[in-house]
Amino acid sequence: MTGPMTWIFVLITVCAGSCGDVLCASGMSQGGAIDDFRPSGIVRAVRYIVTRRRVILGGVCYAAAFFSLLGLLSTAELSIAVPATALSFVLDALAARFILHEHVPRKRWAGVACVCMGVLLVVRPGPLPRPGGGARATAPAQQDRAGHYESRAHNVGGESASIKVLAEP
Amino acid sequence: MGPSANDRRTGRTALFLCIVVLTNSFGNMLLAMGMERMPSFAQVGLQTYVAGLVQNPFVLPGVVLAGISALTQLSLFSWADLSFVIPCTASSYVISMILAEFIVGEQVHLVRWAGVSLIFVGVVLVARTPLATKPHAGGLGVPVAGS
Repeated sequence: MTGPMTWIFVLITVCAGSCGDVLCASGMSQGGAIDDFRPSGIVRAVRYIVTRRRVILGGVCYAAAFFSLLGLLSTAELSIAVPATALSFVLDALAARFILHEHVPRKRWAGVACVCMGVLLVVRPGPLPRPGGGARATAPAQQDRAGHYESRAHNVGGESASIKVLAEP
Repeated sequence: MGPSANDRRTGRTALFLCIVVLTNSFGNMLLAMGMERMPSFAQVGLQTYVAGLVQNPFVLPGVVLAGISALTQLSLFSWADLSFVIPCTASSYVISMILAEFIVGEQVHLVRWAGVSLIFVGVVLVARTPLATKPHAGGLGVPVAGS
């Protein structure tokens, strides 16, 4: 069964990840390009990063996304849930356009679309494509409860993992 | 005169993207190896789970690599667009897939290779757009690429 917890994890992973990206990008673009990579410059850059409020908030969002991802990966319902996180690429591009006011060129939108569709294909678990195709495949959980539910989830919301999830014994 | 500031920034962006992608992929491989040895969160509860994470020999190095990846990505944000950086980091899927096939020894299904090819095309498309489409404060003094 796809418990509500699974969807809460998906929602938190995707939204918190994108919030983190937007906050960090916005915070980092205020202070000028980091272009001094001598030790003293790196120290200054790190000091900048850890004192900038938006970057810290972004870090908190990343942490929320990360732990929510761990939670997501430990549930047995990955075959819909994990591909849903491919949407974070689209969400990021939309946020960059409408919140950060970047002038996203058409070619870049096309690239984002390709990446998103590619991720959907890549993260689909199981050895065979599902009949009907698409990420919205139904009834993913007719797995033998006693056995292993084996699934590979790559790069979810910025993190990638390849895991073997034990179903309930 | 050496290479122009624009060339330097393009080269540095490529280098930093490589660092982000490689540390991310290897870090995630370690995290994945660690997570394979973890019990289900729902079964053991928070305390046992966190204790298991701390004792796991793969999780900590994985987290360190993820940290390097994050810091490198933050410096990229200081001169490049979010909508440029994020799609480009998706090339870590390509690396993860190669790691899975040739190091972990998983059989990677054809559909996934198709997905990886799409991601590759997408990254190439994004990489052929200007690094920054709006002014970023200060820095190397590179004019914002408008075309």
